Amino acid sequence: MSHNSITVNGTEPNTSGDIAISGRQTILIGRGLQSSYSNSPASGFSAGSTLYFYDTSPVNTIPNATISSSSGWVSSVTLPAGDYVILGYFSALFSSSGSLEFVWYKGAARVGNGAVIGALTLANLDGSRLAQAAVTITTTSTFTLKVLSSSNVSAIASQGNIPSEESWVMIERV
Amino acid sequence: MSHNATTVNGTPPSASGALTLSNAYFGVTTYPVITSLSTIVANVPVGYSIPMGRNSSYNILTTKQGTSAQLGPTLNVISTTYQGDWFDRITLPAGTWLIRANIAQDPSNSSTGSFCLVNFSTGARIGPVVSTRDAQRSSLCIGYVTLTASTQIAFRTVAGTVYKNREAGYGRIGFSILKVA
Repeated sequence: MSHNSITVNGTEPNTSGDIAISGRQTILIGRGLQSSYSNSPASGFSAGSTLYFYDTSPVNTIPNATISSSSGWVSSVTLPAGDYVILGYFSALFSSSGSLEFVWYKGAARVGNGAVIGALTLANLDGSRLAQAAVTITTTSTFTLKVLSSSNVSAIASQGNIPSEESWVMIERV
Repeated sequence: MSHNATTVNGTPPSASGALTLSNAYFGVTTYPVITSLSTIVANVPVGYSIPMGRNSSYNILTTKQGTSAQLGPTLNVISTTYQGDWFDRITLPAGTWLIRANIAQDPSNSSTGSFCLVNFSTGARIGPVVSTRDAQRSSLCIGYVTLTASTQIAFRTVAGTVYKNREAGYGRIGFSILKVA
């Protein structure tokens, strides 16, 4: 029996034979870092647009999971087969009373609940602020947070650091 | 190489090959603090940590191996008369910690401040910023930090002013702090 055949939660031993495991396999993207959203690859906030998260050194303790990013701007996360809870929150600046709805996509398919945030004057806005999906995937899959609808969201050039400082993603393997 | 040379987090199997791990390896230690403010505290300006009060549900679970936590006060934004039941920082030992705090936002809040979890001493951010500009924003703070030595963490105002104007506002904070590794 080779020691290389032993894994714990998918983690193989290192060259010394030790398997370093964490109790929680986690991805965390977005920790208050500052960068203008105009630095991101984002093209707008219309329905179907990808939302980007800024983190130059995101936490990733899920073996074989990858985070796609460019200059610190994360566009998607690719996860190996398994069970996950995925949370996403996006914050934006509004030009006046308005709202922004967003939801997780697995490839081209929506997963989980839609979330909504709103500007100050939209006082009666209701619903979850968090886009959450509990998923079981049998093959490697890519997840992206996308816009469902938007109203009076300020232009990308006007967003400043709000999306980078306040938006985040947390994924836990369960 | 014998499989007996395999270890998990440095622990080797027994002579019979069995490997027993304590729960501490799996980070199940929890540390919830449920707070409740009255109208004692008003504005918390930039650079100040947000005081949190202990209520009857206040609890610390430190039953797992190698974990402990303490609360500490500076509380320079509230009167010394009321400081006995309040804290403004949490001391964690070395390790990797996953911190979540849920905050009930006040629907009448109209301040334009923001705050986040920070290293109490250095002010370094350990989680995303939470804005108070609108009621329709995130009420969940998260942080993930690896500490090489005992460290104090806190909520701190990082822009504008965080305003606690009623019990339904930022006074309702529930913590869950998990030791991950």
